[in-house]
Formats: sequence, structure tokens, C-alpha cells
Amino acid sequence: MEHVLERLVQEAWVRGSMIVSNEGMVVMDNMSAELDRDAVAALASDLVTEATAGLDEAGMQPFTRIVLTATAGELIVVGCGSVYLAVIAAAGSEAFYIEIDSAARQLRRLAPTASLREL
Amino acid sequence: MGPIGTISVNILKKLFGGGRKAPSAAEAAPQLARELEGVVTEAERLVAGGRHDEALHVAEQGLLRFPAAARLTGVINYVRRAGAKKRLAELKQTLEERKDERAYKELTALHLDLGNKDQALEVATAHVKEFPDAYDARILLGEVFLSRYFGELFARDAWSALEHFGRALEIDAEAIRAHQLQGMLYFSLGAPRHSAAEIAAVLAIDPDNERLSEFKERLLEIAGPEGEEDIEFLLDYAQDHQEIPNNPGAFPGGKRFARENVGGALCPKLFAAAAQGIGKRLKIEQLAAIGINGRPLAVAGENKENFVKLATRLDEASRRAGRHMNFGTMRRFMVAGKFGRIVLVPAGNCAVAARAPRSVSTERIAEGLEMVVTASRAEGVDSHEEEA
Repeated sequence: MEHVLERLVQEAWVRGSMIVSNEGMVVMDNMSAELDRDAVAALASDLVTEATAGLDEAGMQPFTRIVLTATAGELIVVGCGSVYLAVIAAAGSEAFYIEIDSAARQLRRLAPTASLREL
Repeated sequence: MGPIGTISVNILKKLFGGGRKAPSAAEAAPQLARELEGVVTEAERLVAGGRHDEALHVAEQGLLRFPAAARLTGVINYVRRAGAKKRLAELKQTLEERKDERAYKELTALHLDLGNKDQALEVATAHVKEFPDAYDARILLGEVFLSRYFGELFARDAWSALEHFGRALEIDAEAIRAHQLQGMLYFSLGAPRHSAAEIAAVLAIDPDNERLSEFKERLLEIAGPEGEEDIEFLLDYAQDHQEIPNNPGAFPGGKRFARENVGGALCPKLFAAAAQGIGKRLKIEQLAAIGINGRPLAVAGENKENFVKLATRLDEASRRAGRHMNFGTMRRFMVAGKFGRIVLVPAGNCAVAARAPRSVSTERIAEGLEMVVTASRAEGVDSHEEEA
């Protein structure tokens, strides 16, 4: 899994990536020094919680991807089984989503239903 | 002006159809979309032909009609950036060679003019780090925070601005600009007594400033009893409600900080018509406009109540994210799944969310939402409809 995160941050667009548990805890991360990993994890967890609860209330199926776009960057969250992959990237990095999806699929294979303790 | 004026008047008449009767609400959204497309195409054509001044003029005129049109803002930013590119490079080069105070100041100001608030903050912070005892560096950094504050109304930016103005005044008690800017912030928050006190501090240094003197008198006329103004409460209130009682542009010397037009109230009837027009084109299935604190302003499509609840959750979560992450201005929030794609965009004093199939891109949905907001607020259409 470390390799998957490392590979992602090699991309010019990416400033950091992390695996976050459903409870909002950082399982593993590869973040650049200027990013506050705990803040990113809390933010990703908040977005996931609200989106999940809102979709459930509305009778919709779970999300597969969340993208929060601001002028200075994007936060992309993709579900990977029991965990989430959160990526901080430069704004306008849509072309790079294919890499993120690929990384998420690899993580899903590595930890399809593993609990946080097992990871 | 010369050729710009002549060409632009013709172009604008053609594009905006000056003087014609306002369309009905049912026609409004698609018609506005066509108009916007025409303006953007013309502006981009002028940019491609190297006619930057004309492109800028067309785009600026277009923004008066379509204040939320991101593509027009993009044209303006592109032209300004192209013009400022050389100077930016020179200033960066200077700062790489030596820590020059003037270069820091000019580069910060240039970034602010270009709307690059994050870069302005970066340069101003470096400036303060290099010259911690320079009161003007502190004021400039405070100004950058203030500029950010009036964009997003996040309390933390206002507190940072006040902190740096305070430091500037510790270094130089006669830094009148620090008092002036604090006075402007307090005025905008609806704290006239605090604002008048800052003006009084300026007048103690410069007693002949008649404009400020008169403004102070007016502030004291409307001020409540002493001790009634709670700045922390006012900042939190402004953040939560995304509005401030007074436009800083009305404060003497505050024109540069005039708050962007966040738009008037949405007209539900126009919203429904606009939603129908744009909705068909983008295959939008559900659409909702929500005000601060989840108050539904207008809703279209099925299962309205649940979609409003969902949009409110997403809006609140994205606003929290904006407050806690140094990400610049929030643009949109997208959630995708088997249900399709839900896109939420902030639109001044409200947020608009739509659900469409995944085959429709986030960009197109976001642009459609901007059009719906514009059409729902279009004054000419509004009054026409109200009369009807």
C-alpha cells in the first residue's frame, strides 16, 4: 500500500495522498511537509460522513468519488472497501483521475474488507 | 479608447441586444445561455487575435450581465495575467537575487490586483519574515488577509488581519493606515463605535482629514450604547450567515475592498423556469437552491425534501472544509456514484446543487447551475415577471 501512495505522489499534480479509515483515522500517508495530515484526514472524514449520511437519507447508493474543488487545490476522496483514499492535488487535475482510480482499485485488492487493526 | 469603444459598442449591442423587451421566465435560461455563449465566444476570439484590450472590455461588460460566469472571469484573468506576466517574472527574479522590500510590496500588490490572493499571502508572509520590524510589511500582510476576508467572510482571516495591524501599530504608533483598515473592518461588521474609535486615532495624527471626521460623526449618530458591540460575535455571525451589514466600499478609502456582488434574492418562479430550460439540456434530474442554514430557496425535480437535506449536508460540509483548509476560494463540490453526479456550487448568499447522469461533466453541470442562478436573479426578467 505504501508503494501505491508513493507512486501517486510522484505525479506533478499531487501534493499528498493518504489512506483514511471510516472512523477518520489516518492509516497511512505520504503528504508534503506543508500539509497538515490530521486536518486533511478530519476534512476527508467529515466530507465522507456527510455525503454518506445524506445519500443514505435520500435513498441513494453510496458514492464512489468525492471531489472538493477550490482555486488553490482539490481534495479527491475515493472509496476503497473499508478505507478511503484521499488525494490532495493542484486545481484542475481531472486528467489525473485515471491514476487515482487505478490506485484505488489496487488498494481495494490489497484491503478489500480488512479492518483498521489488520492494516 | 478609439477603436475599442467603436467596436465594443457594436459588439455589445449585438451580443446583449440592447433595449429589447425582457424575455419571459420560460425563455430566460436558454436565452441567457445563448447570450453568454455569444459573449464568451467573442471574448475568446478577441484573445486569440491578440486584441487583449477589446477582449477585456467585452468580458467586463459581460460580467455585468452574468456576474457568476466563470468563463468570463477566466478571460479577464488571462488577459490581466498576460499583461502582468513580464512584471511578475521581473519581480520574482529580483527577489531571488536579493531581499528587496519594494519588490515584495509590488509583487504582493500585483498578485492582489490579479486576484491571486493565495500568492499575495505567500509573498506578504515572506516579506514579514524577512523584515519583521517593518510596520508597512505588517500592514500589507493585514491587507491581504482583509482582502481574503471580504471574499469568504471566514473569521480567522479577519482575526489575522487585526493581529498584523496591531503589530504594525506596536512598531509605529502613527501607522494611520492600520487604524483606517481596522476602522473599515469594524464598519463593515456593523460596529460603528469601534470604527469611530479607529477614525479618532487617525484624526489624532491627522486632524485635518475632513472626510474621515464627517464619517466619524455619522458613525457615532448610529452607534448604540457603549459596550454593546461584540466583535467576536459579529465575526462569527458574518461567517455563519455569509453576510456583513455594511459594504467596506462605503468606508473612506475602502473602494478597493468593495464586496463582490453576491447577488440578490432568488425568485422561485424564475428558478423553476430556468431549471426547466437548463435542466433539459443537461438532463438534470434534481435541483435545489439552499440559503444559509439549509433554508430551501427553490427546488425542482422529484423527491424535493430529501434532495434539499442532502444538498444542505454537502453545502455545510464544503463550507467547513473552506474554513479549515487553506485551499483558496471554494468553487464546487462533486459527489459521484451509481445515482449519477451531484454538483454543488456556492453562489454568493446561497448554494445550488443538481443531480445529473454521469455522462454529463462536472464542468457543464457547474456552468449550468451558474446560469440558473443568473437567470433566477436577472433583474429585467424579474420585474417583467412580477408585473405579469
